[in-house]
Amino acid sequence: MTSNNTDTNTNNKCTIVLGAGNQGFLTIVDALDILFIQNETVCVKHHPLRGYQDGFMREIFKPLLERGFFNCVVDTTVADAVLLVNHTLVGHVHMTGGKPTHDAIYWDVKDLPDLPFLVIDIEMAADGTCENNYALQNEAFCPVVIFVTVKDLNDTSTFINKVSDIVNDKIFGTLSCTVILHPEMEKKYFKECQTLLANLKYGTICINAWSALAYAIDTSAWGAYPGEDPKDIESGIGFVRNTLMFDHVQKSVVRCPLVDQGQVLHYKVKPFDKKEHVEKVVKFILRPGLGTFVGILPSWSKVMCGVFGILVLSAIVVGVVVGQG
Amino acid sequence: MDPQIEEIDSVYEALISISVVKTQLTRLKTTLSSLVLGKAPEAKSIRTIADGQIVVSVFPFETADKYGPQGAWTAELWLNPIKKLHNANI
Repeated sequence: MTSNNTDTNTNNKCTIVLGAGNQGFLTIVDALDILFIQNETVCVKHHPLRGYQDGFMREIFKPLLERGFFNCVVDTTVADAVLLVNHTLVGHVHMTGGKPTHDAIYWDVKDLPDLPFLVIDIEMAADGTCENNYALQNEAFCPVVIFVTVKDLNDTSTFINKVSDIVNDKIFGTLSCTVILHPEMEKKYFKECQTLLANLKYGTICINAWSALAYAIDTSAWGAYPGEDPKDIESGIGFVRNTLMFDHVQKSVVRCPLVDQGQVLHYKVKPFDKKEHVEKVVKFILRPGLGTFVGILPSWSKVMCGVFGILVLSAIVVGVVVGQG
Repeated sequence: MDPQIEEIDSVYEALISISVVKTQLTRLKTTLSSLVLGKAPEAKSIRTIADGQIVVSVFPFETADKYGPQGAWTAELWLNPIKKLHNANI
């Protein structure tokens, strides 16, 4: 859950960003969002697992830190964190975490539930009723897989029309969802699929990919479906990313091929056996160009040299064509 | 887990972080630079669906987006149906 748990700061107070534990870049991107899109000053409290980010974030944000727009602190104790978010100079808390964390901050609720670790099968009637909906209504920060079989939806058209009601009303959370949709299926049931996308109440709807990967698209928006109440929070309030700065975002719809290089984030190859290799790749990411590209070519690979040769030739050909144009 | 594999995973995570932050900063700089000139970034395409809701195409936004890891992806922002198209707060 990304919970931006108060409305826009209007009292010129500081925003606390409670750093995310799951990914390091979230804390940095959240701080940038608060500073440059929401136009507020920021103090980051690093997640206990991510205290190592303190040093390099101070370096990255040095110009803002020196001017008093940014600061960061490492995690010490829960008591210190409570003091921080309740400080009189704090007007806005931005967090990545679950409902229990939100409620602990917002409502001072102290009882945190035990987390299950389960694979669960649920049979549901077409009207959305089922014997035990605990797993559908309680957020778990651990591996839980729930298979829901909806009975008596006897054809595809009926299923597509009904499924948005079921997930909107019966399943906790509005942050994101994945829809597996074969292009041929969408062509055949075009109207039903358009209605499904329009009716799904999720901040991000990702078609044919794990919805979290949609975060990679900086121009889309990431956050809960609008309209949640702090008294009954599920996935939070507000969006991040949205680098084109559109107002009034309701949701992002991201479409991906079912099998695609963008979905393969991790592959077990070993190009990084030396620190120098990593530094060269970082240079290429920061300043992509022929010079930095040459730097990442592993000297041991004749194949890569062959590819490099083809790329140089292609660049020359393109250059000549463009030049003639 | 094999410590070497774990180290490789850490490197990948760090590289992904650098890539995400760099993209965010680059695009924000472009948007804010446009705002300084009194212009909002222009959406590539805008369509209106059946109930009047505005849908803005936002990815790929630049040609270079088509050559990144998500080059085959598309993204749209669906705006709140009761609101008019309005970006960058101008």
